[in-house]
Amino acid sequence: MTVKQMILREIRHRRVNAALAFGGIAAAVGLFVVLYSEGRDVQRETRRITRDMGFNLRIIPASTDMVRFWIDGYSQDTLPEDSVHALARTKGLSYNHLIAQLIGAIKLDGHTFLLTGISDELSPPGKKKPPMQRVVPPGSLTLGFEAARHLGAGKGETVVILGRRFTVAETLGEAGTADDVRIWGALEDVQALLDLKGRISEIKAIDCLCTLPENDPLTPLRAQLAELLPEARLVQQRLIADARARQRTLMRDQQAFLLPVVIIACAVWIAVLATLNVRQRHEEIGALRALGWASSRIAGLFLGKAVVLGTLGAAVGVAAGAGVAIWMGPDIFPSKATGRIDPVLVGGPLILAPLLAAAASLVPAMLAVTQDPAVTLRGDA
Amino acid sequence: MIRATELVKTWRTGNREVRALDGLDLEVTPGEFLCLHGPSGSGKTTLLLALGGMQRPTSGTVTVGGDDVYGLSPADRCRLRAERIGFVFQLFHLVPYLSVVENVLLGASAATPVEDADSLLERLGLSGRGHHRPAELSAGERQRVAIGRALIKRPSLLLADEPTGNLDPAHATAVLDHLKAFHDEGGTVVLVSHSRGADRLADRVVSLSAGRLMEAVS
Repeated sequence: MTVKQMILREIRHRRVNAALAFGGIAAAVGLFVVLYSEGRDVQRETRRITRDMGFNLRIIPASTDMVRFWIDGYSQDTLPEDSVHALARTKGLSYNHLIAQLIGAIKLDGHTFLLTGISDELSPPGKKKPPMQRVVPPGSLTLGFEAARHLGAGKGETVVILGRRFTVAETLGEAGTADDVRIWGALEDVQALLDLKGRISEIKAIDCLCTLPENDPLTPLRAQLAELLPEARLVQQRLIADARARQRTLMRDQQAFLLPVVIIACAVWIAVLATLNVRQRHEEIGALRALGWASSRIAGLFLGKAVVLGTLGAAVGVAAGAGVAIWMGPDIFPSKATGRIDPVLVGGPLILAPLLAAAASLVPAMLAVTQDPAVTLRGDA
Repeated sequence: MIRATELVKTWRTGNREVRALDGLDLEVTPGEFLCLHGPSGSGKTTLLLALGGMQRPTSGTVTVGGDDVYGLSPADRCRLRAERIGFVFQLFHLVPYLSVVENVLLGASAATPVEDADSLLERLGLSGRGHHRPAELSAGERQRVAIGRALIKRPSLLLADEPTGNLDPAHATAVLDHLKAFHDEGGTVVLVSHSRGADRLADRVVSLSAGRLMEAVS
């Protein structure tokens, strides 16, 4: 009779114990898969929400009059356009989503508007991300709400700005910010209109340190910038940056708490059941000892059982968890649920759950092999 | 030859030390049938387990066929039990989830054919019971399965601890007859028993009291 045969027979014989262990593992693995995959969707959703909060870094000329900057909302001074390319070429940069802007106030029909040229979005090497900012093709404009209203222009119509004709690519709804009086164009068009070829007012970016607000992410960012662009200075939009950092930290902490709790609860459950199993089988253990079974072989009965139940529980748990995640995910996160399960989430539990079950059964197995057989084998026991 | 020399086994119960074996000396010659009597708590089971390498004495030595049992490595001690010593217990201690045949084969090496177990069960009067579970057997049948499990490996020494203690007289006689048959084939038997019923089968009867051999009865 091999250890494997005995394990399978014992599982069939003590069905309740085996079913409780199997159920515990399957539930834990299923919960793990659901929490992990939903957590990934929550993170994606969080990224989208925080991205929509907007850019949180502005790199402006160091010579900027900051009082005027905050009154006007943009710098009157300029940087060379190549500054943004220099940043985008730099490896290990803590910024991403780099956009060069040139801003100037212009008067049209007696109203002042902010003419804003924007470049394509650039990313440092290895950090390519989907663009956050709308693209304005050369020869076209995007009009903020008030700009569109005052100019009386709609999508597809032609407007003349500083003597040059443009097609309106898009008109925006009311934003409740200075963007309502903004007219966006391609950077090179606006540079030509403002006669500032090769110049930009600022570089907008998002810091990707994702550090806690109290960790002072500005110091390393400023240090990087001072090295790369000494003629520039960094302004952080603190509220947006803090909100991003807090939301991301919240998500990370929630996962860091929940997943270990599930794993530990499962391990404790398996350990309790394995201990009960050892207590139920103390006569059998004593008899096997009398028959000359070595400690390793007896321990193998318990560890092997844990591995079998861990594997079966993981298989069922992964299937159930994946089913729930795929079924429920799109309802919870309609915009970002992928409806897919990471292959790691399938393979990982199938390897780790049996190991965890065996580890949780280790102490009970040691109890089994170290128990004094004389106590159980006595006739008057 | 089995030899126990100056065996001492002490237990600690709370603050009290109990001497289960108190400097006991015993020799059992090959092929001998030794019957061991004594009241409860006299150390019979402790002695039996010590002889079988299952209970390390506090001091003293046990040799079986020239091997110092407690001087062996744990692996060698397991091998000694697996190959040369058979145990039979009062409460049978069969594995409940294995069939009769499988319980018997538990005591054998992996190479032992099932036919050996079948023929042994036939000799033990258990033909047709091979696929039953222990729970489906009477106490006498269970004890005969336990004897089969002990004998399947053809041990040289059989250590039996009150094997008839839970049986009615008819079944008890049958069990003792099987032990006698093993002895008649040249096996050594050490039988622990409360009752004097087995004395007629024994070559020698000794009595144990307070952890010491008190007298040679026959």
